[in-house]
Amino acid sequence: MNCTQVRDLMSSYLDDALVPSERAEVESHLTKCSACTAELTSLAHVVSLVHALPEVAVPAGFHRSVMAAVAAARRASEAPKARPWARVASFRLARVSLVAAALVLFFGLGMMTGRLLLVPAPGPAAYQPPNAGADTSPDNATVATGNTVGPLGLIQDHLVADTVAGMGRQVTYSAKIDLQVQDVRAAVVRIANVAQATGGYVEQSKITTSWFGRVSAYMKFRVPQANFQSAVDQVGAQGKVVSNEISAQDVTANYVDVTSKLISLQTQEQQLLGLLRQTSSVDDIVKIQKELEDVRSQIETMKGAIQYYDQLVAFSTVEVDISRPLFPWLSSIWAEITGLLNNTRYGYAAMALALPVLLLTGAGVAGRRFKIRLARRGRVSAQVAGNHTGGSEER
Amino acid sequence: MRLSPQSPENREALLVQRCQSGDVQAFGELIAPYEKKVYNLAYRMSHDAEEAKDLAQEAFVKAYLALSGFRGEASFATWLFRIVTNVCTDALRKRRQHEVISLNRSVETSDGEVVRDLPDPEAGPGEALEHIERQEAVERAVRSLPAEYRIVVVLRDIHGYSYEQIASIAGVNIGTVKSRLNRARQRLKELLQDGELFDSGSVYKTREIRKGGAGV
Repeated sequence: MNCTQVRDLMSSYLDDALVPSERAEVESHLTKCSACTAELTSLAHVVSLVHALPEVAVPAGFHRSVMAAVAAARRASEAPKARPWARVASFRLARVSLVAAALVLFFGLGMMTGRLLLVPAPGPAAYQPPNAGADTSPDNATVATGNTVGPLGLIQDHLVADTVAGMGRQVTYSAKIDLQVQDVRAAVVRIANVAQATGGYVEQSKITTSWFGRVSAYMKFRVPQANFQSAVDQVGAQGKVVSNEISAQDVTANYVDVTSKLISLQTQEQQLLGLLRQTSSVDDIVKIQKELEDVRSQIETMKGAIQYYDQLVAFSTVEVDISRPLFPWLSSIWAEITGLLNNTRYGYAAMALALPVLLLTGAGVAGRRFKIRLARRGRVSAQVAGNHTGGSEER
Repeated sequence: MRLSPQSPENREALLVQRCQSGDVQAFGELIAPYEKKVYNLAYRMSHDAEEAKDLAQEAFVKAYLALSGFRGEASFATWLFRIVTNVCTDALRKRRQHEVISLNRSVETSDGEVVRDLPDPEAGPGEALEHIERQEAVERAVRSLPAEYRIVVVLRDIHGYSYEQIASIAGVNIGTVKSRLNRARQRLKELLQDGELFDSGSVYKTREIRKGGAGV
């Protein structure tokens, strides 16, 4: 073996990664060749130098920023595919959407000609969480299940921005889920558990019983942003999801705005303090004090606002409407119609007009079902049917 | 129903399952033990802490998105480091095309590699200073290596992986690992020896880069 061959194997020799025969040859060469021995020593020195490079510390907040990026990527990647249950729901909705669209068109046109439309409908505002920090931001992006490309671009922009700048974009997320379950009260308990398990808290929980005995519930809870998707998924797993709307709101502008105001106020405060030190006239001192008080109270307000936005970004809001399906087909028509109407200017008026028709149809079907059930029960046992005369609810 | 949670492999397998069923929190737990190693690898493969942070984060996001396809053929660690390696070498290759010329960093030119070395104004005696200087020289030398060579040196001499693991992470065979490692170390030796010999005040030094086939 010559020097070149030995030097090709030298690095592996250092790592003891040679087969015994090669190793023996290298060693026998080394005993004869002082140049190669010197080479080996310096190579070993290089390895030890590289090995001695210190481990660097992970930057502060790294885990959090990774998890935020992961959560954002997940939302960006999953939304366009739409989860399986969403596909099922939208398939069912598609079947009735034609009917519903016809109804809306019919009543909408009727009202337009009747000039009943002057009352502006409250519209989707009713679906905003009360403290979600206003619709003022122009970046307000909404992704409803089934929606496709448009708004997703925005969300991906958020992801990109999130990843690039550490402080980057401040985005708040919220979800609104319409859930149908068999047992509303049990679902409320389970969803409260979900909120707790994902590190969040229930902000509001309300169970109502309508005059005809139908139980429904509304829940609102907040979870750390990193667990938002997991919370939404877990809520969805509790029953049938009729609709699921996830919105991302960019509050960066608000954030930057408030922060810059705070900085300018703090500068003002310093200037006033400087003036206060220089002046000796009592009159001026009183004036400056007054001014200072003013600036300080504004500073507190700005600090409060920053805290509010921090909280808003750190925690995402999940709202859940829970109900028991009335009749599967009727409730999907209902969901479809409310969905459509919420997007129209004349939603509420049209809904009010459509309601009697729907109720009549519903009552007709209910009556027929009740009759059928009575007949069925009668066949099994006349007494059982007698005990349940008041019950129009299904078991 | 539950596997024994004591064994770290089982714990990891369970976490992977939870991630695959959509649990983002489980992903946090899964990667926590690797964050430091991944960040360090990215740090050695990049120019600075900021870039390292971006690369490591990108790698974790990619890992998350690819996790549904992870079937446990390799260990999770190997799989993860393969992603990190790809992200880092890709970024490095991309950057080579529009490299920002910075002081004392090596630059490839048509007639070989030119290393800009600035005389260090703070150079002086003192062991601590010397130690830091030597460390910086080593870092600089490692950073001057092309991506494919740098990754094997970093994985072997800093992270201490075996040749088999490196082959699996870098997606090359063991022979290639051996030859790249040999050539990378030889080159580091040349760079560092030169540095020690001609340290005082030389501004430009041109070096021949050994070209030619791998040795194994």
